Amino acid sequence: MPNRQHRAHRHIQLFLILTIYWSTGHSDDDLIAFTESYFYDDLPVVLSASRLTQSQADTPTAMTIINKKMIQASAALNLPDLLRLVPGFTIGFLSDASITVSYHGHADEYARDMQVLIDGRSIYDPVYGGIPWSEIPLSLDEILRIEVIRGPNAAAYGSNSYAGVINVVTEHPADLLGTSFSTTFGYEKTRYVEAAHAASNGKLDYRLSTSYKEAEGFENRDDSSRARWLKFDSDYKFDIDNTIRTTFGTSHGNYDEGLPTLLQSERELDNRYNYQSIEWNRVLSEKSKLNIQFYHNYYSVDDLKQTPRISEQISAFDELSAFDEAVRPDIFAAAISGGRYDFDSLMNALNLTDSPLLFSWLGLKSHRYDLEVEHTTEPIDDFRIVWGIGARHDRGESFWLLHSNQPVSRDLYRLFLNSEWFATQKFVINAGGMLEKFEGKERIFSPRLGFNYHLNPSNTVRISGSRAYRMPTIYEDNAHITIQLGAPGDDFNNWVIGTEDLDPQQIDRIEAGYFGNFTEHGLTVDLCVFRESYSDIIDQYRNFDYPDPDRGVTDPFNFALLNQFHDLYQQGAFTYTNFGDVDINGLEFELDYRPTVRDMVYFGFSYLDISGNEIKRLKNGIFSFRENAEEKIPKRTFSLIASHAFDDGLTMSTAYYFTDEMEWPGEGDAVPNYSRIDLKFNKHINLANTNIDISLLLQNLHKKNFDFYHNDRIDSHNIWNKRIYLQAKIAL
Amino acid sequence: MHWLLTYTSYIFHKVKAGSVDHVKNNIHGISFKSCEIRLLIIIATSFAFLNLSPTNCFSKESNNILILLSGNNDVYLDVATTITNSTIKQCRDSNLSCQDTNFEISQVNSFDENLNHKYRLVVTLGINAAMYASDKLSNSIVLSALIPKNSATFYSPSSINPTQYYFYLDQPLHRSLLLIKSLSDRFKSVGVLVNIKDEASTSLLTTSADKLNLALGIEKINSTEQIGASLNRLLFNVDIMLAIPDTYIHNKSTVSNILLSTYRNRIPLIGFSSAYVKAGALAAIYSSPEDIAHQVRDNIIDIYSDNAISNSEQMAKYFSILFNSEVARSLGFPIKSVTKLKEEITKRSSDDIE
Repeated sequence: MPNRQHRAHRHIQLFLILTIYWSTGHSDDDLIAFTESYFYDDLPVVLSASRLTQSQADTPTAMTIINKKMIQASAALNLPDLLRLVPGFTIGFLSDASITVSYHGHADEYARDMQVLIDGRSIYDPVYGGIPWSEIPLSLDEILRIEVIRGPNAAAYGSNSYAGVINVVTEHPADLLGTSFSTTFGYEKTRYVEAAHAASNGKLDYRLSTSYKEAEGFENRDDSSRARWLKFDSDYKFDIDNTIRTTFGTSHGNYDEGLPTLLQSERELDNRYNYQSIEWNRVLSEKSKLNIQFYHNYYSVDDLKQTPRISEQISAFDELSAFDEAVRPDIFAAAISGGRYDFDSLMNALNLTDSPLLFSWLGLKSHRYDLEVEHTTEPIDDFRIVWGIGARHDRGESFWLLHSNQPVSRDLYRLFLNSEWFATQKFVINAGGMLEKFEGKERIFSPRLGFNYHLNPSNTVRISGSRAYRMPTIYEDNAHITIQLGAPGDDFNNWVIGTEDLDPQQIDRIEAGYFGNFTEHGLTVDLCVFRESYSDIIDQYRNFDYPDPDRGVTDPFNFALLNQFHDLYQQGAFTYTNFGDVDINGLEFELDYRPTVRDMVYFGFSYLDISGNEIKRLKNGIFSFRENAEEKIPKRTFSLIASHAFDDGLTMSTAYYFTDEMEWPGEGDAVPNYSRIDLKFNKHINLANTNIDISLLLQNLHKKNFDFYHNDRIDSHNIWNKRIYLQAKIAL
Repeated sequence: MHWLLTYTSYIFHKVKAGSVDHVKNNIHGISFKSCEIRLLIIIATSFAFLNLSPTNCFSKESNNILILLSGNNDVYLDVATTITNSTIKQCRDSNLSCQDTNFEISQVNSFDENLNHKYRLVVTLGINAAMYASDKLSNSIVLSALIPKNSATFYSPSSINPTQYYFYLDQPLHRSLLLIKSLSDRFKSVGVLVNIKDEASTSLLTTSADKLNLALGIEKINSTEQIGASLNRLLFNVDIMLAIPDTYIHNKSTVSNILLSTYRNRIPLIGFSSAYVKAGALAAIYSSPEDIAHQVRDNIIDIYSDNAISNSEQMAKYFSILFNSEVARSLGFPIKSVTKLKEEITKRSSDDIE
């Protein structure tokens, strides 16, 4: 036998000795014997059927997935800006930090039609509605994937999963091990600093992250912001089947807000947000899993405005500018009273004091406590059920919004069931529903039914229908904003008053879709046509007939004067009602092409045909309406993002976003189309155990864009100019 | 009926030792006892099928084959059963002298070396049995199967058996890459966690990946704490992950995190055992007990045909594939036919012996 063979034998025999030693004598758990049993012993079943999520081809609804590659290719610096990628999405920046996000528009500055979840925790604010986007303690680097369900999905996610659901899945702490720092600076003194540290000891994975951000926002406005947050995220593994995920975070921001008008004056908001979430995941068997989650969100906005005294306001009237400032209030009083009163006697006659007006449009405190028990099971092969129960307690406190120092609360109980049945290898039926009982409201049931048929492994067609509701917010149900004179408790002028019991607004959507998944080519395509019918829309209108506080004035002449005085500020009051229907027929298309791991192209398009009306006002007992829904919703949106990674660690990406012209409801204005080109260059440098990324971000390269405010009358415009940022990240 | 008697006494010995009730079949979920009974039935059936007369069974002692098992795990029994059945059949079909061979199956810890049996051939299954044969049965030709290949560096022991042959149960790494290639042309970039000391695997993977026009992302691991961070670095830049046998990197403590991380990132993982696939890997190419038995059978036939054994170390010749349809469906990956994958790999394979 040749020597080589002898040597080989010797090696093998010693190896055998070593492995026997390991398998018999060594006590260190990490040293696993390299014996034949290594290949044949069972391993714990990690990805059991109960843990596996539904694939996109089997979902009954249109869904956009923004994954890490897209996030890294994007020049967006915040989550709402990233959502421009989703077909049909409308993003409005009221200021640098106040953002509204809606699917198919028809939403004001506090878009209340979207459910937003971060790791299963709803961040929808129960008092005012909408999402406090800037207060969320979340870095884009921590996002693993964003699943956007386009269309209602209350059957799975509950009420307020109305026009759509944004489900943000963050990175597991174990997937971001190490220490990282990130800094961004650029346009309008933008300075972001983020730091994070994640570690694992086998049982416990945790991550601590923090951020400080400041920026001056739009060039032509005073909307600078200074915000910071701190977050802790941990996952403790008791064993392979039991984990507890605990997260808590806190944020604090100061945001310059407002417009150069008397009642929207520029001021600084002081916002605080914190949350605590604990989630127990227990795998009961390969086909059964239990998930229990409890969380609490707290949100507060400190926003108190104080105008100049009434005499000072009168002195500032343009019509009185020809007179000496000292006599202007008296001239005003004489003019409206037909010479009967000077300013002081007018104040006395109307039971007014020459005091500043106090009010707040936003000041609130809100709490949401939520407990949910969810059971996933596969009772028979190819039939999977997710069902559960939940309870929620929402509470709001705001003297300024609710005209009471007492908190207003609302409880919710819910029962849900969703099923996925592979009737055949090719035919999938998704059916489910959620039954909800809100305190003080009728029970509501939100069903969903969908059929997916796989023509072959690459091509799937689907048809589905769903119904969802949006429950009025605590504010809409209990709105009572009254401008105070001098001190809280002295009601002066009614601004917004809730006058009726509101019903939830309803949406019905049917859609037919095609999903193509050509794995060989790295190509996915989604096309859907749909019809959405919105009804009982909770709409705000001006009730000119609603009286302001009479302040105890009984004399008819003086009472008429008081009303004249009120009308200087606002005649009547805004209120809410269920009115209006909107129908949208639309087509949406998505294409995601990744021919190699280095290349990515995503393209999204939405076209909507809109009709509908909204209530405008009630005056002298007569309602007036507007058939203008098509103006409030952009007809087309378009998004494109592409990136390529070169050999030397350089990645170049570009994005284009387009939103048709539209008129923002609420405080917003009609804005021309929004068309934006972004570029991003990223250089990745890999040193020993250290990764460095340096990025140049160029936003809005080719034209000015107007966002949300575009009002010449009060010289209020949010203008997107070219924005340049430099970003550096280091991961150790 | 020497062979049958020998085997029956083997079972009897085990039953007497009280080990039967403690050992469960890990693969098929059948108790050891039922496996024993099944084996007896198979043996009895083999006799009927092969029409062996009692006189055929009482052959010359030197024509005996000893199958020495490392333990009482069902894997050893599955392999031993398949070796006996398929060898006898093949010998009969080829009219070789081994058709009259008596197979004696024994467990290493109950084997009585003092009986001084002479064997034409000894087949050992597992490391313990291979070690025993190396020490105690050095006069025989020894075929040692069910041996994991390890790339660690060893130094020379004092005694060797030049007639001992080793059959690794590891599949050639090239074959794993072929599986990836056969699963989808979409997979162009493969990520692998490799022990920093395992230069041989790195080299083999690099060569194979080049041949198959696959880009390879390798993260070298020098401590278990490093696995998470290294895996995360890979996941962003690869289409698919490949797990290669290494007890430091893939063990009961780490597979959970590895599978969850890859799944969260929607990156499929290719394992190296059926257990890995059952745990959540997309697919694996591995040596089943039958595959190993058939390779041993082929070598027994070679010996009885007076052909030289081609190599003292042989990588797995046959292979099996397991595909996890549920994971595939969840990842949006088309469900593949194992038969077609096997055909594809066989077609593309070029007898890679590492």
